[in-house]
Amino acid sequence: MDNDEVNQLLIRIGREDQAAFRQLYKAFSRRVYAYVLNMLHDHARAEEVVVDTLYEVWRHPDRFRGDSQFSTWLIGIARRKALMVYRARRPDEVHGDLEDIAEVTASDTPDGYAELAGKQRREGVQHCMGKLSDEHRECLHLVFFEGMGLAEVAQVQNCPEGTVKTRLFHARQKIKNCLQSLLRSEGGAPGVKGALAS
Amino acid sequence: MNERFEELLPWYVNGSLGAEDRAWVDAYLEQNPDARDELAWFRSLQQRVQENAPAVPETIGLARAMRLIQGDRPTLAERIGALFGNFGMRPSYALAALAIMAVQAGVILNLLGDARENADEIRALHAVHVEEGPMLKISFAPDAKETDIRMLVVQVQGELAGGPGQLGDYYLRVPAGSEAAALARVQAAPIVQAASLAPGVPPRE
Repeated sequence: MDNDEVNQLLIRIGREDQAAFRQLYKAFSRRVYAYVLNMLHDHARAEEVVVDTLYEVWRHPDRFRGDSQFSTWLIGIARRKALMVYRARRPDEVHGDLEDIAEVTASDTPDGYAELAGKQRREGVQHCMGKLSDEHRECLHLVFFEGMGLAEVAQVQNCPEGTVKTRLFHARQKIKNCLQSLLRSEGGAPGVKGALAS
Repeated sequence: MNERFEELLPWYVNGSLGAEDRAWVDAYLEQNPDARDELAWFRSLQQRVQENAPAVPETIGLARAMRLIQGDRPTLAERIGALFGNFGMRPSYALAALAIMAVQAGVILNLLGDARENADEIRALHAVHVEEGPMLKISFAPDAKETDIRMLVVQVQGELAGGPGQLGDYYLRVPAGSEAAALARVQAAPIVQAASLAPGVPPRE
């Protein structure tokens, strides 16, 4: 749904048109949910944030001024709400910021990439993304799930574009290293072309 | 590997790169076949990230959102603003006027109470109804809406036992045995600034 369609719905929402709200909700709920779940790892709370985020659109549809994509703006709202939930979590719920994954540069050999691309499985990537810090994981989600550009990611993450680039670089390195460890544990990589040795 | 290529590649893969940069990456890939493996790796990563998305219906949470909307009522401040707005008064002035009136009413009632109490030679302490059961003391965010507060109270099967106190605290009685879970739920709610277990409702709350 592009910004023109969204604006039409927002005008109707401003007149308390519930059908318009329903349409907008259905168009964006899954994206917001996926984003929030990626941050909170809690389905119930993610759903609460989705409801709260879109309810805010119902209350203040005029706040979207069209300076960015509607989805970027909406995710910005969801982010603020998710952060409030995140900060209110009990200490025993807090995930560690897993900076402990070594950032040793993985081999850039062609075989290494081919090997890695061929071997990375759904579970493996999921596992390795789960080990990233919150900012790195969020950055990957915004780039590869939302398809946002550099400026949009920087806007959502509220940081300079250079920081986004750095986060992407480190996220990539960490995932590669993590996948490399997985391959090793499966007895794959080191023996096969010695590709991914750092 | 070329630094510019590495920097541009994620955006090349997600399709957000401008035409000029895209052409540069295409040319680089043409001249450096090895770089295509890096491209394949990023595409693979993108595919996995998209596959990891939770499979939920587009209606997730919609029923709750509709309930919120249908039960939506203007906040107290908005209602007061609208009321005084009818008399041509700005909402901020209206709130200030209302606050002054409330303070004046409080002072008058207090004076009346003192006068009555002084007249009694023997008087009992104020009768305080002590609420039984686990109690949560909650401070809501200033922008918390009535509907959100009500929904939270229902979620923890709570019952408003007191408040707001002078500091804006509310006291919520919750079912015995569920206080820890209720507290965690309340603390996680975005509309709550602070929450803790309380021994009971203090007098005059």
